[in-house]
Amino acid sequence: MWGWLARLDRVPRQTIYLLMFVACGLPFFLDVRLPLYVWPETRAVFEVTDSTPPNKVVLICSNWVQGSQGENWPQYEALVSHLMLRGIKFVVIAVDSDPLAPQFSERINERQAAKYGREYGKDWVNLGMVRGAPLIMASIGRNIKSVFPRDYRGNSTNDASKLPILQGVTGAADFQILWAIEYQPSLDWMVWLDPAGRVPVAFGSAGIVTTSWYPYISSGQMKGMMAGIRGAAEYESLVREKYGSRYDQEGLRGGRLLVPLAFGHLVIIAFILLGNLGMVAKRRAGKGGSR
Amino acid sequence: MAARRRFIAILTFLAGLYFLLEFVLPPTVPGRTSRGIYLSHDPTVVRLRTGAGDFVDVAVRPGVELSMMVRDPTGKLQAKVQRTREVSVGETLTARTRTFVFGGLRNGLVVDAEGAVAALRPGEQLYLDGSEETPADLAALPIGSKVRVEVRSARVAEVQWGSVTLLQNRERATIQLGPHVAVLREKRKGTPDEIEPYEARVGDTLAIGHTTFLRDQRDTAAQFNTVLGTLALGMGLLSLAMVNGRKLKRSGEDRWVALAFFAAVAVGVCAGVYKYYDPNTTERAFSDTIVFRLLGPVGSTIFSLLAFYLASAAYRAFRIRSAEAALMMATALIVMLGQTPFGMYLTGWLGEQLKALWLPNVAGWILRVPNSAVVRGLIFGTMLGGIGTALRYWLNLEKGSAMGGGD
Amino acid sequence: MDNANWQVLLLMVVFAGLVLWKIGSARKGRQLYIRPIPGLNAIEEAVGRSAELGGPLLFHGGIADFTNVQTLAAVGILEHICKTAAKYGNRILVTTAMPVMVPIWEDVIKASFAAAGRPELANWSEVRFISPAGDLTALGTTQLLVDEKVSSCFLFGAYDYTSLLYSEGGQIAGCMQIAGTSDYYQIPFFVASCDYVVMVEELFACSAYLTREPTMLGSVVGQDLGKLFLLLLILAGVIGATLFGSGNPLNVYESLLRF
Repeated sequence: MWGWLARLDRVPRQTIYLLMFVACGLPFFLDVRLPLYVWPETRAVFEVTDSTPPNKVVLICSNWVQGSQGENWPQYEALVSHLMLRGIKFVVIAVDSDPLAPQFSERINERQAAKYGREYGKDWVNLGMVRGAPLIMASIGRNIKSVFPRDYRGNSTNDASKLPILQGVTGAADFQILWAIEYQPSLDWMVWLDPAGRVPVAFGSAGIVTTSWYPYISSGQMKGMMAGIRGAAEYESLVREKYGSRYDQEGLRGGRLLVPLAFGHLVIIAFILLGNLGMVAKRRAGKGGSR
Repeated sequence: MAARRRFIAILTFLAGLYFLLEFVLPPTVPGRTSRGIYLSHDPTVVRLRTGAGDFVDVAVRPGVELSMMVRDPTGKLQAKVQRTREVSVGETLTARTRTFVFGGLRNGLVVDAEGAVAALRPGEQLYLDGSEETPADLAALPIGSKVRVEVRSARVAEVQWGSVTLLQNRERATIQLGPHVAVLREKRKGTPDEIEPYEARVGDTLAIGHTTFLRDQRDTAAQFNTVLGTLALGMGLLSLAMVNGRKLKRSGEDRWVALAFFAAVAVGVCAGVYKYYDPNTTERAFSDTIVFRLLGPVGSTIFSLLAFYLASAAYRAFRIRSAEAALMMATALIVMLGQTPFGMYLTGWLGEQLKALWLPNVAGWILRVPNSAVVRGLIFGTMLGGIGTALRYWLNLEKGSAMGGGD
Repeated sequence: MDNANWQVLLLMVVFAGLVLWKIGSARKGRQLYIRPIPGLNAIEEAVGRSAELGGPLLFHGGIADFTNVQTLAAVGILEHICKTAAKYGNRILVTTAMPVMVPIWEDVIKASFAAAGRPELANWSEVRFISPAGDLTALGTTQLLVDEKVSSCFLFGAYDYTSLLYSEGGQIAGCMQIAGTSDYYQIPFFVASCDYVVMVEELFACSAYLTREPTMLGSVVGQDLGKLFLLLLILAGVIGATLFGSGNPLNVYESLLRF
């Protein structure tokens, strides 16, 4: 008995890979629904974003590309779908990212805009990528138009006929909240964008990195965050809770990806337990043999 | 070699010194700064001379904007808004003197929406708001459109600096403004904002004084950083091209690898240029295919490898060999389950009274309390380590053979 | 950045002062002690093992460029690895996703091998920029481990999710691995798949520990004194808040620490 169990101590890598593949792949073909608990960190940022007044914009720093799209795409899409649904104006930038970042964000913007009939330049603008953090963050807080003289499509940011959204926008005082969505957003945003601390900061980051944001949330330097895919799913559920059927969830990924994620976790937990069982069994079997 | 090292050391020191001073010094020169409560002000008047020889006096008031035309990276002219204190005699400016809603023409004179005559002084011209290039054609201008009056590309002939009257120690004091004299509005919390005199409200506490210049150069420093960061991209491509260029000369298998590299660069460059095309063109479709159907799935695949690697690494490493390891494992299991919907499945039945024992709440407590404490400790260590390392590099105390340190 | 208020200024002066004071006293010849860091002691073992097996060493200096202090710390470690490798005659491969780092790594290798009296080893070594995308570089590096039959791997610097791609790739390829980062949330990954891990601030103590240079030792001891100062400040703040409550003028520390 112990001898057989002892084999669990050295399960081949390939077996673990296979089971992981099945656990993460299968939920895509089955309709599994799981209950969701909304964490306070997500609720806090949802409320600030939702209460954006018409004279302010939401600033989004979208730095993610293909590498971390598994976690950042659902977050970005949950946020943008909410903004488009409410008609909240937003400005998308990328700072020190992969040069492809604006292309990724713009694709989602266009898709969500088509759903809710929003217009480029009026409801949102994508200003493209700039290098030079952290100094450039301070320049953005002082005058965003001087940092980005042209938008991603080549329009002048001072051209009020093409980009009316930017007409009343200068710097930090005009931003309702800063959303930094990236694998690991830079802490510099809290210090540099607005040293007076008027702009609340929210991060959308990979699940693993979130452990390091809690001290900043409890100190109030950060408003809250979306934690990995779970955060995206929670954000979507908060929007649905408030706006009901007006919210078109077709194509949104947060809620959908949560299920394979949960099953993946189960596989990891199971293998940790089995590995320990195997270790104990091996020890027992070894003792039995020596007797 | 020694000269090069000395050069690097001096340059590093000067750059660091700028940031240190900029951070430490107040925005205005301490001995030459007056503080008091704002009462009133006398606006600065800038006398402009247009190309046609007309003189226009512009008093700096709300709605007035002085800007300088500079070329942006694409070569197009771009207006850069200037503060009044940055204006100097002899430079060329564009001034926006007012904006109003066009109400048509009456007896050949421009009127606004209320019907009041908005007479243009010689040298002033009317522009449709948003169009930057040419003055508006009055005959074709639709009634109700927003227009602005501007003086374009005029030289500053003279500046009559205004003044601000403050209440200092229960007495009125008039502070003369001048070039490089900044007006700061103090706040209850945080650092003061720089404002134009007309933005002050009676009762505001102002500090007026000569700037230390350091703050004005912050955007220049930021641009330096931007330029260096962007140059680095080209440097990487150059390095790759050189390595692959050498391979191309050699015969054998390497040559095909190098060829594939150059082909991939060509495709990548095309995809990068075509991404600016309209969504329905073939070029844009090509770019989207490369980015979203090739690069995207590759990236996702690599990222998903983590799940497999993580499972096997956790399985291998997570063994209970001591009491500490058992504690760590219990914590890990709670946090992992609490992050997934299974946490609610397992403990949701406890009901609202025992809400604190729901797995997501227990996991949340672990993350917010013990985890925060640990992270804070680590942040202190990292921050102090950062200060130490930065000081060594800044003061050229680092003794490495590679980093310009004096051996 | 906006200007410092007096509290920040005070802390800055204290921290910098402690570091500079200790550097000064170390230069005057005072003996300073740093506890052993096992990961760094293992570097010689890893280099020796690689020399026995005949493969090159691989060094990856993290995902950040020179503006990150962790990269600066990694420079010191690469120098030490090069000097150790010069003894055994190993060559070194360095991979990076940061184009701006290519000439810097090349310079470090050249200068360190020259300083150790084996300049020819620098010509056999190689710095490879693989791709500006971090994930592709990680994959390229793990392939390189197999192609070049690398037997020892050093991962030092700032890391993101690619940490596990590098270290688990090395584990599968059977390399001896030593890693170090101060991105604390990546440490579990390194612990799970590397032989030795240099954790968080140990990384900043590395060059001091390796060179035994008084300046560097002094700065590390100065940092620790700074930490002690912070701890005392926190303790005083906790006592003040507990005894007098928040908002009480007797609670001096509250007003001191109100940024």
